[in-house]
Amino acid sequence: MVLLIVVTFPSTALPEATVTIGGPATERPGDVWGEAASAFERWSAGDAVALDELVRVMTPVLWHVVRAYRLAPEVAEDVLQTTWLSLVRSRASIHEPAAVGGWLTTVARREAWKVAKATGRGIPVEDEELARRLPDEGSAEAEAVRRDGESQLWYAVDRLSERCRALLRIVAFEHRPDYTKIAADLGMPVGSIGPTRGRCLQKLRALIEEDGDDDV
Amino acid sequence: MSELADDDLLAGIRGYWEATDPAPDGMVARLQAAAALAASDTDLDIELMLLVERTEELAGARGSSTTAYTLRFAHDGVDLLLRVSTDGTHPRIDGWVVPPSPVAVTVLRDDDTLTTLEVGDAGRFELPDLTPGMLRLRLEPLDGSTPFMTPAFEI
Repeated sequence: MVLLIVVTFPSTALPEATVTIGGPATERPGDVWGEAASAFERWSAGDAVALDELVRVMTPVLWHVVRAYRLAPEVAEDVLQTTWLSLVRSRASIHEPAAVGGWLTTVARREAWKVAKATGRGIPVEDEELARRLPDEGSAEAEAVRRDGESQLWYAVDRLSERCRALLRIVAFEHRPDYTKIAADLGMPVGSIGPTRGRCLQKLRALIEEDGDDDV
Repeated sequence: MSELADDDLLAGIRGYWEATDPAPDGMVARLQAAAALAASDTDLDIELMLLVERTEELAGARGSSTTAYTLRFAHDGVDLLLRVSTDGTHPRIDGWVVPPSPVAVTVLRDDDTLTTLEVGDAGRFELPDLTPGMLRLRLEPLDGSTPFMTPAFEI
């Protein structure tokens, strides 16, 4: 029964799952978390289909969090599968539906960090924290999309240091990130991540300003 | 450009990544299938036994055409030995639960229950007059502990 429903998903669910430019791209994490909590609550009450909804809602968020650890796409997918199987096994231990989003991102980050460390593909900790990436290091995709009329902000994100990009990617998709844990993951002193987040955002603002000035 | 608030910047960053590195096509469906499959196993609250050994017996030394084989399933210190043979026209199963303990054995085919019988302290049971096909056995300890289920096997 459940599998039949899953089979129908590729045609119906994916357009919603892969958010596109101009779509609900700026949906706030809080809204996603709310949907996830509701789906988890219904699933826990015995509605098997609600698990599909939970996976659909949270998978894109988990993807971005895990990819911040510079894992290859297929490795990232394995990490996500491990994360979802952990949730299924641990369902009874999550008593508060509102906690499910944070639970999932925490497990996904822990697993991503473990795999990244094992494969030597972790986030480069020796990077000068706020060193600017050269503009030509921006991905071709990002360049193409930017030329399609996207904002200065995107161009600025392209030129951020690797570590700021990784940090802000996690921060942007998590609802209330646990700074202590992220700090350990990124090899930063525990107390520094709040200020680092602030500095990365400030750096981004400066790059946006700069780009604006260049255009004048 | 006027100074952007943190939330605006973070929303823009989400848009950036959603456009430049979106979740791959089909991944959500694959993960939904994996999660649903895992959930269907745990919903039953049953421990799955694994086949650890399969032994073919040679045809009977006395010229009988009877062939038999033995399957050994195990999980968490409990072994289930099954000798599958044919007596005349129908397959039969002789089973032993090791260590011997009282259990209810249910024979399942396509989720239908064919029969249920109780196994006593000796841990031995017989299932004569079966029909060929795929079967699963479910073992429910009479002391109320978690039931076991074998994977499907063919007789």
